[in-house]
Amino acid sequence: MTMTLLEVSSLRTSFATRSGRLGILRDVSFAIARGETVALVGESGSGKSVTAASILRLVEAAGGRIDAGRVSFEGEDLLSLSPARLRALRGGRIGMIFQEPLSALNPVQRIGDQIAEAVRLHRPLSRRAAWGRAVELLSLVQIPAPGLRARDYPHQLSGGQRQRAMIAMALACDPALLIADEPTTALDVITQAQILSLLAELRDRLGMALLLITHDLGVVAGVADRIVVLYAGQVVEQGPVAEIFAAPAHPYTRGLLDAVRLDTLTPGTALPEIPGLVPPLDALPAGCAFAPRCGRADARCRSAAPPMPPGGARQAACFHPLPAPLPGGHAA
Amino acid sequence: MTAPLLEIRRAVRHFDTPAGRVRAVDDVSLSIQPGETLGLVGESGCGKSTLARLAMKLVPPQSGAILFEGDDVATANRATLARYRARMQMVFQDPLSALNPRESIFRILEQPLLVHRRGDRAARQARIAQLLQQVGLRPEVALRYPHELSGGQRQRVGIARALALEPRLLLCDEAVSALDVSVRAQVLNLLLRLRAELGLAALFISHDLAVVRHVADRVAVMYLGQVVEEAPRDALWQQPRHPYTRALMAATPVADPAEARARPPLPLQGELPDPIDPPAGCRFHPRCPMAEPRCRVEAPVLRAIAAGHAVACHRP
Repeated sequence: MTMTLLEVSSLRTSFATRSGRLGILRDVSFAIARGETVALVGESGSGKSVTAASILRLVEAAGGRIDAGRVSFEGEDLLSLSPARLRALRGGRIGMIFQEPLSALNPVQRIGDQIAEAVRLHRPLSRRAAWGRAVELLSLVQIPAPGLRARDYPHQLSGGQRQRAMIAMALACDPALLIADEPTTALDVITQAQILSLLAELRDRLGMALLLITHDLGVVAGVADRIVVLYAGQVVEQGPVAEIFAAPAHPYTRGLLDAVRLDTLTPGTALPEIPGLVPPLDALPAGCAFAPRCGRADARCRSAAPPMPPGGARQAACFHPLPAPLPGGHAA
Repeated sequence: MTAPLLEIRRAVRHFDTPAGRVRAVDDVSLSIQPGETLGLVGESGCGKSTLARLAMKLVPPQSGAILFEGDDVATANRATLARYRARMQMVFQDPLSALNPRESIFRILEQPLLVHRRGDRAARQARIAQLLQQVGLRPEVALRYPHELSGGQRQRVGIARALALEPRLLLCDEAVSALDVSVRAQVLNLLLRLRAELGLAALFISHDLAVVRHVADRVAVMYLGQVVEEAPRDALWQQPRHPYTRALMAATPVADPAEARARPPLPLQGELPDPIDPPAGCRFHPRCPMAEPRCRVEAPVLRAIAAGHAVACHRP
């Protein structure tokens, strides 16, 4: 029996716009067990970053509002937590890293001082001891000559080293959960591979859980245990990584997978496309939000929203899920 | 063999910065035949975008030559240069920063036609309608402004603008890198279709090897301002000979959980060195799993090892 670390249930988050409140998350539910890696996958506008920001209630500072749902972490209800307790949790039991470390790091403070400060926010250490811990953390994320690099300012580090420094800061207080929002999107392929394998290694070594937020299913095939697919603010499919890749049930998941499997095509031939565009959240179609782009949609899909079946390791919100592969055969 | 459409001969472009001299493009030779797509891959800072800017003559080379249809661009007169620029067009990564936010799509597409004095108002209107249709946009998009369009629609506008003057060659600099995966497939299909319909040649610059493999006929791999390997697509993937090319391939994500987990660790360490002070000898040697003493002192030259396949390595 696995222990649930984080549980997000029926989360709804909205933002104020000129034309009224706009629902960004329209029912997001998933859970992460201790030590587990979950990839939250979706395109721009799917609500994946807002999900991360809602978990830590960072949306409130950005003008967002959590309208309904529950977020529990280690048995605590995050949505009713006091501001002080919430601050202790952010950067404490839950660490977070972002796509662009340069915008998250203070440009006029030395890397070592920033990490030491993060340590001292959560732990009663002397300046000297906190600096020592910062150097130790830089060494943990495999930055060469960590004692020297701690004295550098962010602009003196390469993009990959800055992302490592961000990770070091997020690990300052041994988090049980690390939320990584597009941690490798701005990086080159080789640096991307290095950062992903570093995250997997740290997860195994420190026993922490990982919530990887990404637009690219291909990137997470090697590190995720489970995949949660978001479309237009809703979870459309979730399940173990091997099952999702072998036999996606939701046509949207299938489309995302086709898009990253260029190597299965003859070079120069037309790529399988998901036609059309992600619908604007203020003009969602009736019924299934994916129906206008879906080859399997019928009248029912255009009038009623398919519910997510309750429970189970494998779920898809679709009236016409793709068939599972026959035993010993291939997916249809 | 036909004459190349674009030929870059031993081009050198350095930039002086407060921190020192950046050797962005250091003795690079490449050519593109009519109708051919050359893929150019490498990490950020390898010089691939500078090479595109050299080809467009947005920056001049310090030495070497750039020839378009046999004419040296450096010594071309204004009329030749204008014709040359019309026949070679660029598609950028971020269409929002490449499109003027205060101009309607109609104005944006009309601009190159006005600059190059193509047709009267009625002819320009007809051409713009045709361009929008070619890139799969509805006619009413002409009245919109860039911020009113989605990322994919904006990139279609960027492509329509590049096509306005009927170029022979498109320089695509990370043209699909900023797009969502589902939109990326649509835009790639558009580029593939236009290439076939219009017989366009292309320099397709990308950090994404999977995309390059799908669109390119031939591929050049750049590292720290130099081409380290060049080969026909299939030859490169069947037998990559430079350790850096192999590392790039090994780092490219594979969309298969079992295969991704069975992969050996990346066969190289460290990051791209400072382009201001590149390593002596082979520039790749500090990260190379195969490096031997010779690699630290002697820079390998790019040499042919098979038909159309060249590599700059002492131990290919």
